[in-house]
Amino acid sequence: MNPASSPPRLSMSQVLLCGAAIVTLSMGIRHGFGLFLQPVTMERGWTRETFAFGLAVQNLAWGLAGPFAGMVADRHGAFRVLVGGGLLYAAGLVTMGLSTTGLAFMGSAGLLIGMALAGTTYPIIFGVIARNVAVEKRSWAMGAAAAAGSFGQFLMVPVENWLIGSFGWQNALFVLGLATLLILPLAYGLKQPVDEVSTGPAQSVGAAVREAFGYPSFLLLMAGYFVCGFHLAFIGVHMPSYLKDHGLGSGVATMALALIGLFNVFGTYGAGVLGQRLAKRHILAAIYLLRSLTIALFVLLPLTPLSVYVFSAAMGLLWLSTVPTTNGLVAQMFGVRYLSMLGGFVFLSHQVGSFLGVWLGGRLYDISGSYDVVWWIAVALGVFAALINLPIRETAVVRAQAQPA
Amino acid sequence: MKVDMSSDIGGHNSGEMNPAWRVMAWGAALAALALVFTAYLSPQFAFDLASRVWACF
Repeated sequence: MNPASSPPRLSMSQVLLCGAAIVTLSMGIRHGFGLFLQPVTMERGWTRETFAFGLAVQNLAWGLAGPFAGMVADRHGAFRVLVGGGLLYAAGLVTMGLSTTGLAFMGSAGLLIGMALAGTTYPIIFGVIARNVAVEKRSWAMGAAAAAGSFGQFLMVPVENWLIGSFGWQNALFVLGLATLLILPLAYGLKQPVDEVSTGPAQSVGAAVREAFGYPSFLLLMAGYFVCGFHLAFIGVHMPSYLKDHGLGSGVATMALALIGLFNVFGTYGAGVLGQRLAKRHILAAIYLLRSLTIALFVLLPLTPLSVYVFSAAMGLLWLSTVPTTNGLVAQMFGVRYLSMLGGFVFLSHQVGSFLGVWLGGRLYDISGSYDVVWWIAVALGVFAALINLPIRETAVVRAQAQPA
Repeated sequence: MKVDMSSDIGGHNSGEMNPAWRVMAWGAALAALALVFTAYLSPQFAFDLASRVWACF
């Protein structure tokens, strides 16, 4: 049997509209948190480390909670997880605005919002998409939903900047908290009876986890996604500093941010469309290889505003294009029954890579006095990720005692 | 583009999206992207955003 097959229940239009709106909100709001650094630290009298530590905890909590949120979604339906995630998100944003100590900030912006993100982002939405969209359109649908998340990131930076400027940072957080409550009615559009959620072969959670971690292709996919996290976090966090070191103005960094955001939408959608026609391992290998090539050219060529813009546009195309492809591969290998949970594990690997990208970027800069070493590590990791994606098997795992859905 | 955004997989309808609707959907998406991009190009917004981004380093 093909474990990727499952009986569809909800209409594709409904799943896509509701799923896309949810990830637009959840990914978008989180993407603008850096804008709060200055006003929050100034008013509370905190160091930047206090703020940065809260966001670092958020990223780790997001990654660690992902497999658990996915497991609950796979067993009891995405609706409950999305409702819980939406409420946690709202509570996290409001308490983030009320926090007066570093510990409270870590609990609100870090733990609460980190767990909320685990319950409202890609693995949860992709699980619903995979169960309700025909296999021949699944990659495209995942690309469309992921592009919505990319659009959210692009959209919410100016929106949050405007909210902070117009109403103050604290009221901006309260408004965003209210906005996250929109996830609740949107989640209703993704609600399925619990018996319809458990599609695919009978298999326990433990057996699914053992099967995935005993399957070499899954481990290769996780290793590749680790590199993805490393690249994005290092570039996202350290590139403005790199530009500043080389005498480029703040306007160049802002335009770079805009170009990455704009081209990310096209890249993510395009990867989903390509995934419908080409082998996903080849798409992933090409993405990682092109990232290495782009970074190498960026470092080797003279640094000018134009080279920054070209680099940003190219990296934007390659930014989140790994998301629909990677999750689509998980569905191809193991089917959709535990897709959200297994997607959560793969994302955990991404978050560990993100953590290392941010930390190692700063650490090696302090030791060597430049980012050159880290840029070349990023190039080498990209080549490594391209190579390890090539032998991935895209066929469904063979189960000795698999039962039809 | 062979993908079909309008089809309902549950068997309610499975026809290709009307070309006019497809053009309108793409037009709306591109207009939304262009609108957001103009926000980044606004001098006041760009200065404000750049100040915040730069404050992190």
